Amino acid sequence: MSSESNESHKSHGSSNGNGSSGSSGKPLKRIHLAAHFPGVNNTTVWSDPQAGSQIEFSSFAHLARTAERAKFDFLFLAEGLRLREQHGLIHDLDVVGRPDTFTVLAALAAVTERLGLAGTINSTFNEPYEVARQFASLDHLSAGRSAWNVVTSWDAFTGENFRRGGFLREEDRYARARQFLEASWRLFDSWRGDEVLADRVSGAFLGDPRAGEFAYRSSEFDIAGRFDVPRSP
Amino acid sequence: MPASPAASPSSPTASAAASPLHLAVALDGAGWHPSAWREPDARPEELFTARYWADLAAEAEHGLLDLLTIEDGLSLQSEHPFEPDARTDRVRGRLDAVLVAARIAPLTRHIGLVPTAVVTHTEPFHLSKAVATLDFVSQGRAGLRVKVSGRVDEVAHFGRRAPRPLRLEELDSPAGLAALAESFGEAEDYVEVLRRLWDSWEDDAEIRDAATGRFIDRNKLHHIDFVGSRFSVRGPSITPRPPQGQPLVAALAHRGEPFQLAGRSTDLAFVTPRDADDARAIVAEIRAAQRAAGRGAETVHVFADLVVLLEERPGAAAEQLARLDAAAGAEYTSDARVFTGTSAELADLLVELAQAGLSGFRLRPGRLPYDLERITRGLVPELQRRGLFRTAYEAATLRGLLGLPRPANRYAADTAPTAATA
Repeated sequence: MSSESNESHKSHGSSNGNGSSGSSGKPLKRIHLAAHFPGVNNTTVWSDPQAGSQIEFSSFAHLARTAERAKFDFLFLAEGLRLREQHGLIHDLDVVGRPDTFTVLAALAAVTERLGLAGTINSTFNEPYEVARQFASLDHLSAGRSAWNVVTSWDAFTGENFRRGGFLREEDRYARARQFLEASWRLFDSWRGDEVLADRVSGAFLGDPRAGEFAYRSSEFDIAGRFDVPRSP
Repeated sequence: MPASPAASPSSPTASAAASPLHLAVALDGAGWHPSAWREPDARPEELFTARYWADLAAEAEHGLLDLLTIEDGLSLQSEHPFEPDARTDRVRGRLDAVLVAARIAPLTRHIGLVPTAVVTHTEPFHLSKAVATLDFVSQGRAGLRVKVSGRVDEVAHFGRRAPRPLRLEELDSPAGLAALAESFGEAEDYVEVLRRLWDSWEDDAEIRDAATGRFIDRNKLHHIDFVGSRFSVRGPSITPRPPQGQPLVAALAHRGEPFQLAGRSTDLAFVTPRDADDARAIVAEIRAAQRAAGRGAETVHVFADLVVLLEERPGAAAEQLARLDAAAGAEYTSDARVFTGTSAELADLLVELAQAGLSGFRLRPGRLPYDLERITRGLVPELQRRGLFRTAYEAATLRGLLGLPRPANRYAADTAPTAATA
């Protein structure tokens, strides 16, 4: 059983196509390129003696800097929340061992300046408040370079790694993913962007005592309160 | 036998007179005093930028501090311990502390990075791999301060538990004690899961054996099979064992339940003694918990937290505090003792408190970056003159700086194949 085969992808990135004109006068579509870190599974030729580490930060920093030099749009990290197993035995033939997506992207923000930082984050085994503050924080810490590839899973196999695992019916996973995104946008939008005054003279740090107020109710979520990360770049 | 700080291996240059102290700085917003953000050299408009945190980390590392901590929570800051407030005159809003630590990791080389993380609402699997990754990106300088949340607004932010409002004065009622036991019992389970997941890969699990086509020796990856009354986690981690083996686990403790957690589960306790006698009693309680958990031979550091405002002219720091209090409209109070004075006076106090069995201090700068600079440029040289603080970093990892060995893997002796369940 694979923990990854039942993920499905839906991108919410910052990449938008903009056309420009070529010398012939015909519109020339500019291509966007992303670099996928080929860390795990069977896509990596690990048996070559020159194959590097799939987990050391230097490997990630090298790929990110190289992609940035080549003016790629963004670096992309996949995610799998349980090691693959066959008949109860951990699959041992392919590369395994990957970092936490948010954490390694935040570190990569320190060694790059322009490259987008796209992370795959699961909507089933996370909660909107936590994921929204992580993405908003990453966006602040990278000065506006974070992007989210949202995936869903429902399987009890992956759920065994989580305290709230195994509660989702297969047919509900897209509903949860959609509601997860709606809740996250609600959280991102709970700060308009003009609330932090930091006015030493008047003593007003915030211009609005209700900054960050939010509420979201749906079949999967019932959350309300105040979001604690000001609007990100 | 409890680990005594004086005898612990954390004192590589120990003289007969006194063992060197460990120093940590607690970073939070513009400093711990609520008016600090209005100071002339404060940078309140930069609190949500990487540059601000990178500059503070560089200053702390310049002062050879053992580690820095970063405060965090899953709600806006509040004057009230369990509920939100609607104040607009104080710093509100913050970034995820683990991600701030990761952002500054590649920019620093020696200092330990210890973000705060709430364990009450989060997934131990996620936090385990996040801290393991922080250890990879910092090459062995990661730690974690686990924090139990009693805030009702945080419950509503997650929507998965029944809110259970608490008041400080009710903590010792039967209901309050039951709630504390539940919350800290959960925290202990949580730390157990973190630690098992960090060990779930043996150090030599990755074999890259081209002859047999095997990347890993599957017998060296382990299901952790934690089954508790609150949650169960199967494992193994998706992240290999981090450079330190076990990143540092810390907790802030003010009373019996967290003292138990500190002694049973952590490597470092931050405590808030009023004076040396109080410190002695707290250390004894933590040591007793440590022994009861069979950890008597391990080093568990106990650092006292102090809020510090420092000026080099005697009496000036107290005047500064009065001025800040006037701006805040109230006298500043804290769970930790508030110190005002000179670097030499603070050094005297640290020496006195250390004799109660503390191995170090976590200083909370009243004003940032001002009091951090007074620590690194005033206090540290003063302690160095007295032979009480390092003059160069002597270890490459945070555990190394604190004299903690790289621990053996709890699963290393277990060579049985991982059990099948599918």
